[in-house]
Amino acid sequence: MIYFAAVDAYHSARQLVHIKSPNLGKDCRGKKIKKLKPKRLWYLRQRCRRWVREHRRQVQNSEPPPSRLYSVAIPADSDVWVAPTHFDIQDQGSRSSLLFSLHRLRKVVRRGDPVCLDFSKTEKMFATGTLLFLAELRRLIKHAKGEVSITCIPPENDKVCQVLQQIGLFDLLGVKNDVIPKDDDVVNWRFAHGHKVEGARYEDVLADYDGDIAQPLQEHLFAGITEAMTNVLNHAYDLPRNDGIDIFNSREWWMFSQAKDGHLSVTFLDLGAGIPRTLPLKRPNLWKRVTQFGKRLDSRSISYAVRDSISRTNESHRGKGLGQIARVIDVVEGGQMAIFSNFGALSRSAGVMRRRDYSDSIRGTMIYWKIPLPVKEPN
Amino acid sequence: MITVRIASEFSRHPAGRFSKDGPYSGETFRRKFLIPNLGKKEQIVIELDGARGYGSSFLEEAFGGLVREGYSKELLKSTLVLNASNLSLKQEILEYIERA
Repeated sequence: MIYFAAVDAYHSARQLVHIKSPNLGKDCRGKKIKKLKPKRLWYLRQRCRRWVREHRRQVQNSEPPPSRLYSVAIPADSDVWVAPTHFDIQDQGSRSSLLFSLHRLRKVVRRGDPVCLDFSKTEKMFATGTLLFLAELRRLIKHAKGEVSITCIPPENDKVCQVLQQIGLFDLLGVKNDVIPKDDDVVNWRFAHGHKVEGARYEDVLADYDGDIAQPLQEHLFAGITEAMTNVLNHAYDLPRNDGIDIFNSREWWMFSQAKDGHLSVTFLDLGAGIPRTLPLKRPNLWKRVTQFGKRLDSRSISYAVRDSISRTNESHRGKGLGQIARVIDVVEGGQMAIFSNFGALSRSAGVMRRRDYSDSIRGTMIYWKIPLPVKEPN
Repeated sequence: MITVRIASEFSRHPAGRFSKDGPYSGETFRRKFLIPNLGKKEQIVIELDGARGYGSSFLEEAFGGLVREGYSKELLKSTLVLNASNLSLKQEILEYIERA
């Protein structure tokens, strides 16, 4: 039973302190567990919390252990933010872990405490989760205005270290790291960031694929990306993000491209209010239809917004952008598209749309296209 | 006859609806290239090839915006000559003019 109480306390503290997994659950497996009296349960919970507090104090007072590969001095009064093992927003488990971590990071930076980002446990970085993390971090750095020290412990995983170098994280934090990205699936990561509709930024992330992507697909991709930028400028930031960070109306967007396993993926992100929150404001008639039947699920809002945009005829001269974003993959066989906005997601492949709702919100909108690249003939 | 080559004279990356959105928006194109030439009462040939692509916001604001500025649909259809290897692009622009 102590396991459950420990887990409770453990979860509340694990993001900021190093704790070895206690493996307390092993002894309970396959055995009948006696129900504890509330008083005893309360006592055990208090004991666990006390243990976590003491452990945390010990960690903060002791000298930080040097990384195995790098020697990085952690400022004595820094909070240590332990990065999740997987940076991903598509899998529910990884998503919850990442979003909870980001929530804790926002809290620490808001408090004004120096923070050290510890990537020593990070194993995999997917484009979606990495882009969200990078955008949030840039937002926090902007919020901190140089008054909060943010540093990092480089990861022990070489691939993760290469990715962080490639996306410019070490430069952003002013951390010296000599790792040179060399792996094929890392050197192809491209990053762009802006706050205007700048079509020329397409070249930053996709110019390298000119010979690989057919002309019609290039035109569709360009149109989809610039429509996403236009949506950011005209809709995404019309409401506050409600994340406690006092940056309003920044109208920023972030974009990644990555070639891996014969596919090109492009990820576009804004940290605005999200489609489900802006829909009642921008399209009240559509919102009435969304809420007419059933729950107000975010995936339902996204689905209605996309379908309405695709089939839009004489109603208005505006609102076709989302449809164009969704139709980017229509000109290529095997293409996939997904829109993640707040708690919901809508994916589209082979003309079929699928909805999904998650238990936590990304507080923004992410668009993801995945396109098969032609197989290159060996010379 | 006046010829406007979007890719070389305006931008290879036309994008965005309003001037505040970015440097090469539909509104900017309309104000800088379409409205001044419409006053000359000549046919305007618009070369669409060569650009990276066209978002619906750009096209709608550039061409549909002319109707909202007071130009008649008939005048626009007879004056504007659209040249593009992608035929759906011409169709799309004509729809924006029709539905504006």
